[in-house]
Amino acid sequence: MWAITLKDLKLLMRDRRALSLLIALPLALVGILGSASKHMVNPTASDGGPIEPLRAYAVLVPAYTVMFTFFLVNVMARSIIQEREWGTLRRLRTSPITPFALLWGKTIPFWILSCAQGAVLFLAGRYLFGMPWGSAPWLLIPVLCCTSLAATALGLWVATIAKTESQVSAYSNFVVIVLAGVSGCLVPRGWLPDWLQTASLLTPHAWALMAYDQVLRAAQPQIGLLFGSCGVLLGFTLIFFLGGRSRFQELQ
Amino acid sequence: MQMPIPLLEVSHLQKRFGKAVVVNDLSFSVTAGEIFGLLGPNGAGKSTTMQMIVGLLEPDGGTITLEGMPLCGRDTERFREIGFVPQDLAIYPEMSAEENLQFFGDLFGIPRVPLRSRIAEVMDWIGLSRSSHQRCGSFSGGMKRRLNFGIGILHQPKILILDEPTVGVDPQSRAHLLDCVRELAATGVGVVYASHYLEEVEALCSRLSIVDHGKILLTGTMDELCHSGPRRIELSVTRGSEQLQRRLPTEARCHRSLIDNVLKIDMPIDLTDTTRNGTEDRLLEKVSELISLVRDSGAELREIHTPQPSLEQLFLSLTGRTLRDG
Repeated sequence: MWAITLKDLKLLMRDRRALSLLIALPLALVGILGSASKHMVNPTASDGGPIEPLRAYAVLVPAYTVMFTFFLVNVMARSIIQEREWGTLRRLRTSPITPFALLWGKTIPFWILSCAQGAVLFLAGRYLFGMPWGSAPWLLIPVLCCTSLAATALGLWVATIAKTESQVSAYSNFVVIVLAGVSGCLVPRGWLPDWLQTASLLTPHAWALMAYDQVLRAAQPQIGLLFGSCGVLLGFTLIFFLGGRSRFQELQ
Repeated sequence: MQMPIPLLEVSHLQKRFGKAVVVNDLSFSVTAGEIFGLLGPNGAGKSTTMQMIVGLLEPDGGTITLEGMPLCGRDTERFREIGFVPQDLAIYPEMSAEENLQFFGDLFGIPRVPLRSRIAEVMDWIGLSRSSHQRCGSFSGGMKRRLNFGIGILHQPKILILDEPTVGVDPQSRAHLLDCVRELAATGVGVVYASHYLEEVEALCSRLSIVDHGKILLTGTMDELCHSGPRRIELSVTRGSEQLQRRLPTEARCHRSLIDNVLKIDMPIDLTDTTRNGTEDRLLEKVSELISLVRDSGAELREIHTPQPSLEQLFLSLTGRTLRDG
């Protein structure tokens, strides 16, 4: 399993385009939109209150972190499709590893990448844009890890559903744009109509945003609410992973 | 004489895809050091059989045993003893040849230090030592094929499954790969070699099966197979051949040379349902019948012979001449 993980990490490090898409693009977007938000007229946060100019980053950084975490679905699904096209997936299946180890081996490097991506964005938010990390910054870690797990598991599922790279693009665009839009990544959740806020609870994005909101913006984060959100994200992870695993077995 | 214990034994193997029976009651065995050929046209069921042996497909019936132990489900430890070289390339084009071997060596759990020397050995063997650090996406077709082969043998398997390993390679790479297979067999590795390249199978395999529509049509050594193949009598006749031509059986094909007016006759002989010794006796009988016919017709016999059928003739006689699309 670790051999697959190390191999995929090596291949990911060589894929400069994917890396720039996952790290440089969200960073640039946060920078541009953060500057623009200083001129926004009475913007409101998820709780309906006004956003102070510097605290706009506390909305933008997690929102874009969540959105771009799910960009990973595209990169990960492509990696599995490539394994199929290169014929190496078949070779991996004839090696002495279990299908479970094979799937985890393929998932872990993308989870590491996703965590690194989130860490870079939060570090940039803090040190480039002056974004506050809230009263208990360490709580960012479980949220980041759980969101990344949900995204990578979803990537795995998409990879087993899609048969071609075009299908990967179609499905991942849906995941990135539509789910980000309805869950409150593109505009603060407080701006969404009530029914959409409720409906968006069917997306992992919404739970991740609520958890980040607790860490970054609440004076005293509600631990129950935060870890409850993390639990839901782990639930999504389990569903996606099992979905991907059963599809993977069908493919075999 | 005691029969050697088979390394790999495939017994009454069956596989269906929907209603189509792709492999139908297929059985064969391979001993250590033997190169066993599976010869068949496209869509004969060779690759499906190979995929069942290496665990990519689950058989619907029958058994596969390795050293007497059944290979069932995902018994991952057993895969350490099987080497597989698939028909399609299975390498990482973004990595170098050495990185590819390193990765698959790690996957098979070969410890670091022995793996390093094994990689060097395999690189040397497949003739890629000088290109070991080159990204293999830039390799020629032959180099990719050799690397594909190298990955299959890296973990020193007891049995090697080769599914058309020389498709699309240059003659040099092909010759090199075939030499590697021979050398491996000489060290005691059992080899199953599936191909539709008759000359390769003929040159390489000590025993082979001809497969079509998922069934084995014939199994034996090259000598045994050729003796059981279609036999012909070829003769050349000079003077008085007109009368002979009228009296010949309808299956005889005649061709008259315009240069020297010699009549060449090619007569297929039906020798089915005879044992090997019986075949030779029956053939001699037919030859003497034909000589008598030539003499009675007043023709002059110049030459007569009974050529051994080639593997190609045998193959086509068994599998037909209909085009196969896979």
